[in-house]
Amino acid sequence: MPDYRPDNPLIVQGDHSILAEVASPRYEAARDHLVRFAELVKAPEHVHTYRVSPLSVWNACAAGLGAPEILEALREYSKYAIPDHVATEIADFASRYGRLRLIRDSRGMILSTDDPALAEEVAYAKQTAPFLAARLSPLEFQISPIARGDIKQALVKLGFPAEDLAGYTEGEPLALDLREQTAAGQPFSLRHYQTKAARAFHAGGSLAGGSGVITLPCGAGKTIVAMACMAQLQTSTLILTTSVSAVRQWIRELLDKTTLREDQVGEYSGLAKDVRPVTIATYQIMGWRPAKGDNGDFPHLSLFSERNWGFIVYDEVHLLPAPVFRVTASLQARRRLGLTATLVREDGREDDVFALIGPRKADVPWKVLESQGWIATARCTEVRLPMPEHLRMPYAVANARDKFRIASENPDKIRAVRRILAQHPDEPALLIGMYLDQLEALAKPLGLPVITGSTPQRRRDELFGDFREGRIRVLAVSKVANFAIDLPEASLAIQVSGTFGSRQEEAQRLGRILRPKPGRNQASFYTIVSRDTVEQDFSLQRQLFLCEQGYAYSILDGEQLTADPLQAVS
Amino acid sequence: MKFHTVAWSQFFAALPLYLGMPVGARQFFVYHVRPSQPIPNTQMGEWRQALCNSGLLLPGRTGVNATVRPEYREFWRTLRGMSESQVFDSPILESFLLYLGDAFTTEELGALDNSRNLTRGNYEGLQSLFSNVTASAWPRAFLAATNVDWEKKYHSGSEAFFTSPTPVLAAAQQVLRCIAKVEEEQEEEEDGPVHFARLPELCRDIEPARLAAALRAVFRYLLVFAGLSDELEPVIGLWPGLASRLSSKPVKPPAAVEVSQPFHAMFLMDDMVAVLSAAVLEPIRLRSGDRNIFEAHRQTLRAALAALPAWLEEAFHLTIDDRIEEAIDYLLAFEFLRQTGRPGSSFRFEATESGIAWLSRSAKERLKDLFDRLLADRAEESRYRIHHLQLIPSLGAISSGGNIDHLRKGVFRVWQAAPVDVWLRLGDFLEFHGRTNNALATAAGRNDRLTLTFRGRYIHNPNEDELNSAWQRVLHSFLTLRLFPFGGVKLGVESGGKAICFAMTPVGSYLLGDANDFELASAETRFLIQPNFDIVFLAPSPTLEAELSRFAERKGRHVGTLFRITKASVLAAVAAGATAEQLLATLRDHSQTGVPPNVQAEIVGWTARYRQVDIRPAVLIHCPDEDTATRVGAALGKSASRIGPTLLEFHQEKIPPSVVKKLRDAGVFIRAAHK
Repeated sequence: MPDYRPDNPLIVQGDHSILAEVASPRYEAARDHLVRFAELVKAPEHVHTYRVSPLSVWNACAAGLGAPEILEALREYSKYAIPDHVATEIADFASRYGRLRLIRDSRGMILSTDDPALAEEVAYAKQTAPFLAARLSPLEFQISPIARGDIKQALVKLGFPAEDLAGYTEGEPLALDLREQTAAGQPFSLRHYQTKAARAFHAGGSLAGGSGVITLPCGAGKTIVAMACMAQLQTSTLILTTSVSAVRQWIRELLDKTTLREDQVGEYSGLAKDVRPVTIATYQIMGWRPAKGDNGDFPHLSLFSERNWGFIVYDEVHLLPAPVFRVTASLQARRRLGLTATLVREDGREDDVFALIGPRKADVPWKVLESQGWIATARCTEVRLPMPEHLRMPYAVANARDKFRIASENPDKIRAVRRILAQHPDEPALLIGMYLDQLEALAKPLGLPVITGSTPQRRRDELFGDFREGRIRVLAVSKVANFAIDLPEASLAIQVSGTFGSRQEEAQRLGRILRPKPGRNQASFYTIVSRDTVEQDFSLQRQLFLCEQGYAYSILDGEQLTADPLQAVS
Repeated sequence: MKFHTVAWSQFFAALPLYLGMPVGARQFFVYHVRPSQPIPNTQMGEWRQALCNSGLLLPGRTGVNATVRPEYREFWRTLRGMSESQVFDSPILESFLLYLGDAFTTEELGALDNSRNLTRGNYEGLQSLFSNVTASAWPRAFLAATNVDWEKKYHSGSEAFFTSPTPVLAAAQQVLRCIAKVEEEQEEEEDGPVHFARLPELCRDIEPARLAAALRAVFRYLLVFAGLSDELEPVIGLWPGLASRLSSKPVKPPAAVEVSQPFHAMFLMDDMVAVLSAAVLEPIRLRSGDRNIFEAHRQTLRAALAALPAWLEEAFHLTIDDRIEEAIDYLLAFEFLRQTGRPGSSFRFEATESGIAWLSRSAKERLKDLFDRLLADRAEESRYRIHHLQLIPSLGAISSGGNIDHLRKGVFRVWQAAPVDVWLRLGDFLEFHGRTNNALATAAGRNDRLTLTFRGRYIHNPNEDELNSAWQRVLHSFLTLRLFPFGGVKLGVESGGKAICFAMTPVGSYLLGDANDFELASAETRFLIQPNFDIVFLAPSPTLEAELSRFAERKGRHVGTLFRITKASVLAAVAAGATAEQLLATLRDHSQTGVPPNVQAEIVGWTARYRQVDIRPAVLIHCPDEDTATRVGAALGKSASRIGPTLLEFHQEKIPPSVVKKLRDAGVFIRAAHK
């Protein structure tokens, strides 16, 4: 076979996907190159799939990589010759980045290029033309500063992303440092990959840095990276996150690990409206509007202009809602940091993240962190139980939606829960479910506290606090705990029902137990399903997703859970 | 073009002028110039300079055009005639007839064939002439001639002798030998005929005037042919392939060679498996109009078939659609698939019980089953069976007469001579055995009233060359229709060359009766099974692909993620007779990393869910109360069953009038149910 190099790990395919053989002796070296210019699509056990796209190549270009380096790396590590059209397209993608530049000089904000034909295309394209204030020369356009985000967005859609060298507003100064010992008295320092990510973002304070996205797995300490960036920038900061619990968690972390005082950190949510030098707000409050429908105003978006923010942090940037996107377009003079575990958005707006937040600045594969012990090793198990005889006929004649609920609420699940808890007698555990009745029914006989959407915030904080401090071993939670809740002690999760086949929910739930654990650093994730039902089918979809993230998955029959149920908590 | 009337001395004088031009200018000169008309400069474009500088064209007085110099007009005509010749590109009867064109009178043609009435409409006569002049006996006889007597046998009588006086005959023979020798040497490099420009040098001891006369003689008697090369250089040669047959050198037995890109797969059986598996899952629907497969099904089948290397597809003209048709034809012939319904009504191919049983066997058992069926093809009946069921498919089509059993044994003898796992050039092998182990020639020698059906024509009493060609064709067909598609040989390309090579395999030995059993070669390539049910090939392996296509959905081709195991694909395999153990054994045997526990658990779980149910039409009889149901049941007897207190099932599609009457007699009247 011509040009076949079996020891190399990569296969570059005509559809721009790249397969990486994990067992290859050259895999790690190849992966270190790949992550710079390709997106990881899936990472099951033996062969990982990456994809090269215009965005991934532009991200690489923004980090200083060019097409020759990308192609050289692919040729170096490929088993087979790279398809000609793929090489051509990579070169084409790369050639488009940086042909347009956004700069600022005495004439104001300028969009410039060296390519007369491209200048004409920009001038006449319907996406870009509305944002051009004036044509200063055949190769230069004046842009209104307010349209800086809009033109960047439009240029990405046109296929010619602009290199933004127009600089940032400095913002209100704010002195803060990272502590060497946390307020709680624990030693604290940045991990090497956190330092590297923060440095990549800051870029020594140059115009090449100051905006971008950092991709780290759940539990790898994205919050810490953001704090390191804040310490480098020394400016007032607005942090946007997903829920009130996450807001509180940010506040707790900031006070614990930085020199910020309580009076410098404010919560902006449905419950409190404190605007301070560091303010943490929820996406929900930013997207709230009193008048329903498309024409209503978003009163809380004014928070963006209430202070002279020098830095904006977008936590879980893959969930950034549309109104915040819109307002972010007008905030291009502020330094911006996006944090996420995955750049893939369900709504496909990755290009807007690239245009408005910035290019990817750091991406550390979770497997690397797991091997270094920075996140826990997770073992996933699906436990299958038969449907009780008395529910089989109601299940058989139910409609599809009811079928799922009947199967999910299989009352025999309580026995399996008891057995699992008994098999992990000392491990802090989360019992996670979608149906509140079911959660209550399971929690009551086991004597477990329950947190649902209707649990008052104060009560939630108390229960989370008790769990963290070990006063409660098992906590029953509904989907309110899916996002951005840090419960580092939890090492066991038992999922009794989920949102049909939602892959993101599965990943987020697993993420709750990935914080590094003292000792063997091992987490266990159980899903209990009713055998031969639609619940099992949906579970397979969720299972596939976790497999594609690289987690091994085993399937157990309910009878194989042999621990004595009496040992379980009650 | 009457090449036998050309003034060849003048042709050789003009040739350097023509060859001095670039290929583009030559092309313009041959195809666009008309000697009787001036050619405008605008038409000559970029080639004007080269054409005028060559001396072949004369610029016009006004400088706006040019014309062919009068002394080179015949040269142009000769080139033009050569440009129309296709004998070297496509050495078949049609090219020969085209070549004859208007070069010969009917009388001359008739004389060539020893028949005085060979007209252009006499197709059979022309075929006979073609057979004669393209056989090695034709130039051999000419070379053996010592005087004009040879020519007299083919002379029309109305023209002067071309081989007289004797020195011209000797010169013509020398020209023919020179050309044959150069061609034979060039054949090694797969080069074509001889360049005209080389002739004076090759025949330097023949004076120019005699060389010209000699050329006229060899063209007149179709001993040589003319044409243009790819670069439009005039060439001359014997009928393609004749030079080596003319050679007195003994044919060497084929020697072992090294190959690159080896390929081994029983791809026809694999294709049959893929098509039949698809038919088990869903019958293959046929269009009413043209009885072809619906495009949606064809797409599915295309996706199910493994990819073959591009060089192989090109060398053996294998297209994916032809492979689908071939697989279907074989499945129908072996009764693994059957056509049901009629146009417009359930018109489709369905898997048969025996097809499903065949599918459920191991690859080796499946192959053995096919071989057993082919080997059961009895010699005396073979001619009357469809070729898919014939052991040696082309034999019946090629010859009538001859003892078919002897011929079959002859084919086996030849292929049995190929050692297992030794790579040989296919061309050399066929050439050698075409001459040395020719069972057709033996049959002809025994006067078996042999008639060949060869290249679309009947040949009675074939000559040696025809017997050789036909025998090689039989041998080649056995390779392409039996050995290669069923994994009996491996194929490859000679290292550093282009020649197709083959090596016999244990499977081939079994088919040829040299071995009592065989083991299928375990594929060198293995795959990886991922916990997300993807199966990834890091190197291509058509054999493994075929195995997996029985129970996994194809996702790609060549290398990469080629398959995904799904519930639907596993259930389809189970419906086709596979068991969980068989599927897991296949995966375990070839997986580089074992079978992930969750994949194993799911396969076992899915297969356990498989059930078959029978359906049949029946009539449900709803009664208003239990008493009526009892009365109806009593009236209907065994033809109905009570399936509920007030519900009965009548076991036929309709209630016949006699039963209706019986019910009425019992006081029960039937009312049609509301839909």
